[in-house]
Amino acid sequence: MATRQEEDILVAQLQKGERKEEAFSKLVTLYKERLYWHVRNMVKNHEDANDVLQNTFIKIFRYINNFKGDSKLYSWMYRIATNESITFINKKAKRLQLSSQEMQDYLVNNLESDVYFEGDKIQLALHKALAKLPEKQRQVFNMKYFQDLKYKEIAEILEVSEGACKSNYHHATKKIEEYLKEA
Amino acid sequence: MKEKRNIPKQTGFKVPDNYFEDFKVDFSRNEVENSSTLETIKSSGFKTPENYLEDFKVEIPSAEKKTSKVISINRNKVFTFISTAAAVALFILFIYKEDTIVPEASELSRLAIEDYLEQNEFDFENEIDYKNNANLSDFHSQLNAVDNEAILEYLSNNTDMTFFLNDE
Repeated sequence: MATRQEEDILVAQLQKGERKEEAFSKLVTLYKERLYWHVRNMVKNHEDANDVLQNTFIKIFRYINNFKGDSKLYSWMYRIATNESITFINKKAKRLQLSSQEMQDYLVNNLESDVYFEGDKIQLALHKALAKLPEKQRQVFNMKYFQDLKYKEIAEILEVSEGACKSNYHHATKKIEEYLKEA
Repeated sequence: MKEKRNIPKQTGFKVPDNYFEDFKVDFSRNEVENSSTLETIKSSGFKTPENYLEDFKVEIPSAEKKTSKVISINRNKVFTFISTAAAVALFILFIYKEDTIVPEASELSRLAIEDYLEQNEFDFENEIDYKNNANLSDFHSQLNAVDNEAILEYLSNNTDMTFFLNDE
């Protein structure tokens, strides 16, 4: 992850339009992997993750002038990626005429035949357990458990308090443990 | 010092060729069979196509690259102007239709109806008398023509019916 100083330079270049494409290319290189895994954990499927990631970077490029520096650049980008993923899933659910819960089940059930999923039985069970969680708990769990983000970072991305993140993570792990014991 | 080897003598057991040389702990198998806690699950299990992240590029539409903030605002203004003009034009057209075209159309249609009725010579004074309809009275007379003997014969053939009648 870039330092605050590096971020400031990149943002300045992007906002002023000087060497904008070069700065953007650097931004993509710096964050593509982190944002990819963040999106992938939400949409599950690789092709969908690629679409969402493309849209996320296009939005970042388009709206970089709206970034005021109140938060860190990475948390602003994570927020865009989160919103893009949620919007993508909601649109897909609407197209397939599925409820929010049915959509989560649908995404997880497709993992078994996904060539880009190599998880074993227990990893699949974990994803099934995750699909049963409320949206916020699932997001916090994904960021904490799979991406190893700090509570402070998660709180900034989701625009909630650190305490709320800790509470969500605690409840999520309890529910997942119970689900795995029963599975 | 001579190396000690824990090989049981004459048990009859044997191992596959090179089993101990190739032996590795299969953590994933262990997890599948014994694990039910989060601590033992290491990753999400997702993978990407080969070199996906290395080759990843963002395809920004060419229009996006050229578009500046100023142009974007102007485009919005043009769009607002066009939509306002279209709304006003539609409103004027609507009022014009309300005041002029619609009464004319209703006048014409009334005349057309009168002409049609005259040409087809409808006789509204002699209405159809449904109360004294001949067909209806025929139907009543047919119903009354069924004699009592036929009814009694029907009842005698249907024992259930006579049971109820006698019971009363």
